Amino acid sequence: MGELTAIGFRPGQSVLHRLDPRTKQALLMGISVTSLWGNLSFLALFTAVIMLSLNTAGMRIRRLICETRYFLFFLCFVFGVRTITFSGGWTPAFSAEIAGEALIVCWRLLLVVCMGVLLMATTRTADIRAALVWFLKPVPLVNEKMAATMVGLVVRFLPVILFQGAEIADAQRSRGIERRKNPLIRLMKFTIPLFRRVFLSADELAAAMQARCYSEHRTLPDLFFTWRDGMALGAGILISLTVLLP
Amino acid sequence: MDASARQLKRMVYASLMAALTAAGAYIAIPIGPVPIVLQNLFIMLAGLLLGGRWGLISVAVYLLAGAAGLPVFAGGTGGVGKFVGPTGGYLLGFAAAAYLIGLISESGRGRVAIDVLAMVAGTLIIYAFGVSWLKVATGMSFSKAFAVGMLPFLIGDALKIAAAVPIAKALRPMMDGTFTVVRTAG
Repeated sequence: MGELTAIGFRPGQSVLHRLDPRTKQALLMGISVTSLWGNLSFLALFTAVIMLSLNTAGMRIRRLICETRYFLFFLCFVFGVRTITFSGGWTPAFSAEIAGEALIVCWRLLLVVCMGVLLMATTRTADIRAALVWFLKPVPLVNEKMAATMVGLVVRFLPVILFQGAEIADAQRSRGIERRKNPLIRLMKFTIPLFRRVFLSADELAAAMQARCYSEHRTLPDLFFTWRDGMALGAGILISLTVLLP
Repeated sequence: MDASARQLKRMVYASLMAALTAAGAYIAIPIGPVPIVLQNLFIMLAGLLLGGRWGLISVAVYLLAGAAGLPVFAGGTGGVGKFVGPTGGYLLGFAAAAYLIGLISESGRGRVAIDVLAMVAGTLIIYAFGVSWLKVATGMSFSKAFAVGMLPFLIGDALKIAAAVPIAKALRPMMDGTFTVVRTAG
């Protein structure tokens, strides 16, 4: 559970908090994709912008490092695998040129993750859902209201399922499941009760929704696109254009 | 049960399956030195239990929640950035795998051999997407990407496929509504 609540929304009045969630998501999408072609000048500018945004959003660097620690381990791993080569024998070879390339790759990935953290820390879940409905409206074959409701259910039930999983694991440990060394039995004994419980609550939930006349016509929070969003989008496009610089 | 009620029930099942998939990234069973993470077992079960169409919808909802920035991906992160990141290929592979597994197993009507075949095909699809994107995103060579992104997980996958067959057999009656568990206190 701790992992989930770590990066949550924090109320505030910063510029990022006041931006339209659609703007923030569009920026996140656009800049993540353009960053694939980014080189040193793009990354330097982008880092400065991210640092500034983190500061205005009131995020502490320590908290950021703490929250992305698994990802940081993963980045170190990628860096290690890319730089160390075994050419010919068993002795590892190291070259500064390859290390530089690997560093740029890891830097780019880290910045994209920082953007995701910023979005989550400054946007309410209800706003994210409303933005989702807006983005999915023009997509054919997708019922945007149903999709948004389903996403809402996922968010609501994820902590419940994690709690139930922990409960089942505790109950089985107290009955000595750790003495069973066969991994197949361990997988079955954990998964079957978990799924049974989850689908039971699904049945109850469906009945409860039906009893309350669930329909797809529901009210979502209003979204407003202001001059601030226009400026943020303009800044985003300018940052993206620096990809073209050497 | 009329059509709209059945549709609502399917929708709730698919949503909760998506939540289970998200939870699977956090739940690991400690066996020996390496814990077994349950996420791809849950992806296979999404295909086997919900069928191709709703299995795909369920994984798509999971990916959508992640893309919208909700913290459902491993490590408590979310956002479109994750798709562009090194492990993004696996995420797209999950959707393709759930659809394929559901499609093949539906045609087999519960026969074990067909289910196993479906899951093997699904696993191959996950790695086809995952390893090729890992190669593009990190710039590793193909042999290195295979060694890092596929070989260490194959034994665990074989185990999960073997476990998924009896699990699906035990849970399918519940999905059809032909069998319900009596709810006790708690």
